[in-house]
Amino acid sequence: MLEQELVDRLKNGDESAFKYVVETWQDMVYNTALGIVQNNEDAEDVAQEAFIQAHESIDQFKGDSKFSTWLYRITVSKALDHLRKKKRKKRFAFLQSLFGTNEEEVRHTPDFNHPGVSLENKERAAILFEAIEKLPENQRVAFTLHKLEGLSYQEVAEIMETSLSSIESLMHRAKNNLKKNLSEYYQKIEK
Amino acid sequence: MNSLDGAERAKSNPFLYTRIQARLQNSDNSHWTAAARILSRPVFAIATVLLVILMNAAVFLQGNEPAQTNTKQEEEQVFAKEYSLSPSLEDGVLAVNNDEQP
Repeated sequence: MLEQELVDRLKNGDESAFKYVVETWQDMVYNTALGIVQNNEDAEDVAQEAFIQAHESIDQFKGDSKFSTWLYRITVSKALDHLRKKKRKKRFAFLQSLFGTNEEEVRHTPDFNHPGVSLENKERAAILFEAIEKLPENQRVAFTLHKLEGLSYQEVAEIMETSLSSIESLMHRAKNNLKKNLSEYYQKIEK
Repeated sequence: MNSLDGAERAKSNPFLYTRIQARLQNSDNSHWTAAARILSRPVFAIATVLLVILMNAAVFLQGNEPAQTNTKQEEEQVFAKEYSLSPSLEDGVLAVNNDEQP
């Protein structure tokens, strides 16, 4: 199906077109969300929210970029919103714990295992994911899109609506920060 | 650092479309849920508390002045009762009394 035809059908409220969109891009959306939120249930929530958002705001899609790029943008934005909400909850839970009223504990999953990583890399990947979690938002997004989704810097730049040189510098800083975080981690283990 | 190289795409839930459909249908008829969500926001609760405090303050500040006039009226009524004055007479007598005062 041609992209323009698909978009037109979506704008006309064609449910079969929406089903086609979900079935075609669900793994892409889920994998991106999973890379950013690092939790299976949260990633599924984010994927659902991203498709609902796409369904509701299809009229805002002007066709300036590819449909998949637009979908990536929605997913990234939803995933970051989800992380911010989670952080707020954590802070609130901390305040509640100070007053001894915290019943529901917001837990962080340190040993996140991405299902697509090969068995021999699982352990090292879990450590890398922990280091990725400490990166600033934009470095985290750029690194995840490039490494997990296998996108080129140019594609990442289109999704993040920035220049190629900005992405290059963002990736350079991300790698430096990761190296720093990982070396600190291994130094702690050696002690 | 290269442990993610060659990582495959994670597979999503095969029933994702069904779940999205269910959420879309639920959101269509959930005006009450949306209203409850707005009402349960901390901002709304804080604004309500502030409004109640402001209303109390306004009532307290305004309540002082009429209280004095009320006591004056009450005193006049007690005086009128004590001397068995009818309302029309009461006005007259009080008016006379007021006139006589230097």
